[in-house]
Amino acid sequence: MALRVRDIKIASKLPEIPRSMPVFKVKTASLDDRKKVINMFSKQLKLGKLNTVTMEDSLHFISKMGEVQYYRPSGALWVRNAVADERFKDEKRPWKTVKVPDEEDRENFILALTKSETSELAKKAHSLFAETKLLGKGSYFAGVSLDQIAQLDEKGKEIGRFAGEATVRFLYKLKGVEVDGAGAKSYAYFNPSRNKHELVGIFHAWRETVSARAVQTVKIDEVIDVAITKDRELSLYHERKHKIRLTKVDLVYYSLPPFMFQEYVFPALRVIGSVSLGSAKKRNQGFEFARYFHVAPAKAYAKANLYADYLTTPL
Amino acid sequence: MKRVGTWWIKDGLDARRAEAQGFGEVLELLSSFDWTQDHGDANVLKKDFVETADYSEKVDQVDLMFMCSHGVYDPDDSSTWGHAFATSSGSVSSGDTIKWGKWDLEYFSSHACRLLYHSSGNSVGRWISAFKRLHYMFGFHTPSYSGTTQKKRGSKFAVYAALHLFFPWFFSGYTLRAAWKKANVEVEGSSVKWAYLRASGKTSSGQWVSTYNEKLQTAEPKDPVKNRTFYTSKGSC
Repeated sequence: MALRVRDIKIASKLPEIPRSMPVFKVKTASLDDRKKVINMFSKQLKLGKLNTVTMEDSLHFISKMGEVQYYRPSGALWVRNAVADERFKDEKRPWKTVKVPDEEDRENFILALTKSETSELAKKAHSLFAETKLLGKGSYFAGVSLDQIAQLDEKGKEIGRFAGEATVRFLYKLKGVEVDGAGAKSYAYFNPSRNKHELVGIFHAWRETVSARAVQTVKIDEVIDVAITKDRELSLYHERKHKIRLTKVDLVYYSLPPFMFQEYVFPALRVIGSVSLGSAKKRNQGFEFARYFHVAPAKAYAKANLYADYLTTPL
Repeated sequence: MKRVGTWWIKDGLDARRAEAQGFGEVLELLSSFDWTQDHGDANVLKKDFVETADYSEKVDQVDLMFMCSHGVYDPDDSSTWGHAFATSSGSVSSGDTIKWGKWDLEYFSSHACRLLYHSSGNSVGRWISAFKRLHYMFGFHTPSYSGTTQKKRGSKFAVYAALHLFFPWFFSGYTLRAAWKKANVEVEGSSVKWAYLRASGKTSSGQWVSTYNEKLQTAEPKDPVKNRTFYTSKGSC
């Protein structure tokens, strides 16, 4: 029997979807637009003489020290001093840290930079992005995160926890709604140093908005009824008599990865769900799925005169 | 010759097949790599990952592999997270007898949700018993997404891990851990956390091997097998 709304347990607060939402037309930064920035970062990261190679969707400006990658479909940039990390003997980095509760797992703790270190790195990264005019409208400072390292002995016992590389993160919102996806981040990566913390890389993926057009969306119940119950993956789990729960549902704008062309940033539902066999004997035999779903139907995009394959095909 | 393997269970999403096979397709472009194992859906078998009498596990007939299948656990109970992943003939659990690297395998990679989850109460050390001569497990601390925009994860990981092999005269290369991180920053939103678990230690002849700066190479690397210490790392995509 086909999957119906009543077969799906909603275990999350559902977002309200406005009756219409703006879809943002965005532009791709050309290589010419990026040349100055590429030169600046390659000097700053001491990459030396760069050679250009073309790989599928990107131009890679590479040297023995690292690379600058320019993603042609989006204008995004990845810059990395690839040997900077190799100066360390392992992942540990001597940052000044404090233990703080892990927001996603309250019984756990993570290591975070002290307030003064956070502020220093944030200022440094912000001035870098400001100087290069990379940060777009709608960007906001989302914190500095440290790679979390644990050392274990051969029996699996934790010997110690340490901080790794720092990532200063800028993320994006449009009209107050989070822009999710790999194409909406500006990151600066740092290693600690006695005198001056060392920039070792950046990742900047953001397509500037140029205009907006309203598109009629559907109510959350209809998204579940139309997009989610017709989904091939979830229908398959239902056929197998698995129980499906939606455990986290958020309304976001969706920005495609930097190696994909995107002309319109569109609203989507970000869904994490769980699937279980429901039998007491197989209590541990469940799994999770994480997917994105459209909140505006194909005909609404057509009515707004917006056409692109990613607006109408499953994400 | 280095051998490459891919395993995938679509579960209704063809992007999961493309995600795994992309890994093999890219590496096969290099003359020193051969994509010898490719198994999908019903042919993804538990016996290819766990010790099975009178059988040669296919995962150990390759040097490196990429797999797309679900992490298996009770989503409501964090003490079960990361303990198993799915095959079509039952789940492979960290409690099974696993000897990855017994013959060949050095690098195991999977998009299975939470496979490398680590917390004080549920250590990723549960997988250490699977490290016979394995160097790295690559995976996730959180759920990872599946779909059109993630289907290039495997090919991107392979490109970045092998960039110095494509252009040896220009580029000194990314470490494998840097390649995993970069590939996932490119395909996932910022809420997802990549992770890995690696071993460093001495070879059977007593030589120290650090896998920290390990890059993909065409020669057989030295394997850490004794006096080992393990590192796990996780970070934001």
